[in-house]
Amino acid sequence: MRVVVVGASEQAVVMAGLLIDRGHELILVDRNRDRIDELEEELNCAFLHGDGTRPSILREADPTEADVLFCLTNQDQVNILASLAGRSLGFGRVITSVLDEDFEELCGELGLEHTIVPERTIGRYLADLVEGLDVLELRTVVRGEARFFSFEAGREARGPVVELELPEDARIICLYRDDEFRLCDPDTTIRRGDQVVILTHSRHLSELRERWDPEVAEGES
Amino acid sequence: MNSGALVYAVRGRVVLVYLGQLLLPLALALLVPTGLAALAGSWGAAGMLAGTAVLAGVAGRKAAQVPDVDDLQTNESMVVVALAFLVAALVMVPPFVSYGLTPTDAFFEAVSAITTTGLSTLPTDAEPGDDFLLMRNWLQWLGGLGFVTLSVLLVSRRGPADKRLLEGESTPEGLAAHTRAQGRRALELYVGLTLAGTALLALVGVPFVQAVGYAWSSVSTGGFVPPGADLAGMGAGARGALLLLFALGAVPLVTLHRGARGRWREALRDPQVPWLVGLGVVSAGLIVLFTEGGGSWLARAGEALFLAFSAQTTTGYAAGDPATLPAAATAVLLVAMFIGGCGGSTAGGIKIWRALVALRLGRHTVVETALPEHAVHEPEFAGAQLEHHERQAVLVLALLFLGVIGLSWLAFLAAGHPPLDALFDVVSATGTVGLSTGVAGPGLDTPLKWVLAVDMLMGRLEILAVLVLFAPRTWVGRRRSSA
Repeated sequence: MRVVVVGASEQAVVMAGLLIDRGHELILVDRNRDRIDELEEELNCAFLHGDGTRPSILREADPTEADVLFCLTNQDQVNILASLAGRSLGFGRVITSVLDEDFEELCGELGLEHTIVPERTIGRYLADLVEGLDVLELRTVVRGEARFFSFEAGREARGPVVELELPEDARIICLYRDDEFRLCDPDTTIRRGDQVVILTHSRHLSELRERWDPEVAEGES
Repeated sequence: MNSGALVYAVRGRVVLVYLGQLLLPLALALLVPTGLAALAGSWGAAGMLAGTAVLAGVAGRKAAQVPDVDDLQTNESMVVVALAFLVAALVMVPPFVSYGLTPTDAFFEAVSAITTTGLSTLPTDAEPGDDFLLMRNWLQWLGGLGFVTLSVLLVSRRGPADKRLLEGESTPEGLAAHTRAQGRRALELYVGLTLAGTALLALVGVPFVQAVGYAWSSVSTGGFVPPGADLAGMGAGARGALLLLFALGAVPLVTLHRGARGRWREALRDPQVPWLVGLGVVSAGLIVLFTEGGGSWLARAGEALFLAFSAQTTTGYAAGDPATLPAAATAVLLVAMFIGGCGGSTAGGIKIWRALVALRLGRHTVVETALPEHAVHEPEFAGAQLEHHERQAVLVLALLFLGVIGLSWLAFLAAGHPPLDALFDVVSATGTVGLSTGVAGPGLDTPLKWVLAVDMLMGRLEILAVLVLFAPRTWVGRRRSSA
């Protein structure tokens, strides 16, 4: 795959190293020339020196041929702007890193669907580690075409779980009511404001998104 | 580091579209030689030229309808310029052959003309006709115009110094629009200078047709002598006017533009112009010093000035025979031809500004030895810091010129030509000058004619563009999707 990374943060460098080892083609964009000079020997990838929020810079990485754009600088605003620029330039998938959870919501509203909050991910990992769990191994459980989808229940979704007409390969697994975790049975009743989690085949994702998040779905097309 | 992911081959469509956009002006320009041939009754040549003009016009109109691609890659722009010069030379080969030239000679004359060089391998007793000779003058004029317009595309990464010297006035963003604006401005000035030059030469007594031919070959620093003209027998006034004209041809158009608008202070900010004058005068002085001869001191100084400026501006008019000069004077001319005229003009050589940058870097290296290890000291040129890639580009280009000259010289030495004379003609070809000691003449072996033709093209395209044209990476590999 052809991967473009904006921001040569420590995290980005570690990830870049792993991806290069796995045989992916990597382009690292950073505005700090000294930082690039520092990494030139360490990383066997291509470097672009410039502001990764600028379309003219990102264009040099040939966006429509790239599979993924990672925005991993240490500034959330920069990552969001770079992600928006990247999306409009036609990168296959855009992944935005935000440190401040405040911005996570904004990312959702802007239609940046792949956001990561690294500190929270690590924090949860550490917390689970204390309890003897290894949630990062989740990906070995949820494989292939399986995807999670979650939405906030509005008025139309109220009622028993069974009455919610879902695609064939999609099931409601659990919901969060007032941040409290509840497993769902067929007779569980959904209330307005519940955060509902669905396990689905990936082919139904767009359908689900259109149903519960039409604005985002439009922004994508 | 592994920049492989960012190496892009040229996009054939982009190259074709840009090349196509140059066809329309070419079609218009071809009307001049068509007219010349028709007036002289050379119907074969006129027919071929008219046919080519129509084809170029039709293709050009088609290309003009395609929208610009603004992210033109450097390798693409270089390939376009290199192919443009090649195409312009090649379309002249069939008409030239119709004047009785062999294909090799026809190609040599066409390349010598379009690159504004002025070397010739035609036998002295050959009489291809006045229209052919004027056509060469015109082709030099076209080559000069093409070079001042397109040379901005030959710079791989423009830095502040390049920009200041070669572009000057504020121009629109985007390489395509920029080149067009540059071309329009260049055309106005260039045509103006040509007309003024023609008038001046006619005024000092040069017959009209010769005045036109001289003007074409002088503002372009080309140096083909028009039909019926005799440089050696030319009066001092006429020769002075000619010198003024080709000296102006070696001044950057931006500087002329500023001068024409009375903005002298801005015009003189470019250090190249005083250096051009200074180098010419010093070379002339050295030539006078090294040559013994009769005649008055003033006449000898005049001869030397004409010859020195002819070499320095890379024009290549010679009133006498350079082969009769003593070795020391030949060496002076060699250096002058290697350095050449100002960047941003039609002149060849490595250009004066590059020589000045090299000089500045030399001084910088010496000064550096006196500084403590961590002192920050960056070389400057023309009021701007010289960026790393600019310094590198200047030095690499000088080395490439030397390399091309060295390899070509070797070919001439292997064929048994006298060393200094061979070197002189090789430098003359590579610097697109046109002075000759007689090595480049009718008796030259065909392979060596091709070596000189390649040298002229390399010199005109500042070598890099030719290397890019033939590099496999230019054509094979990942291509960017067009925006």
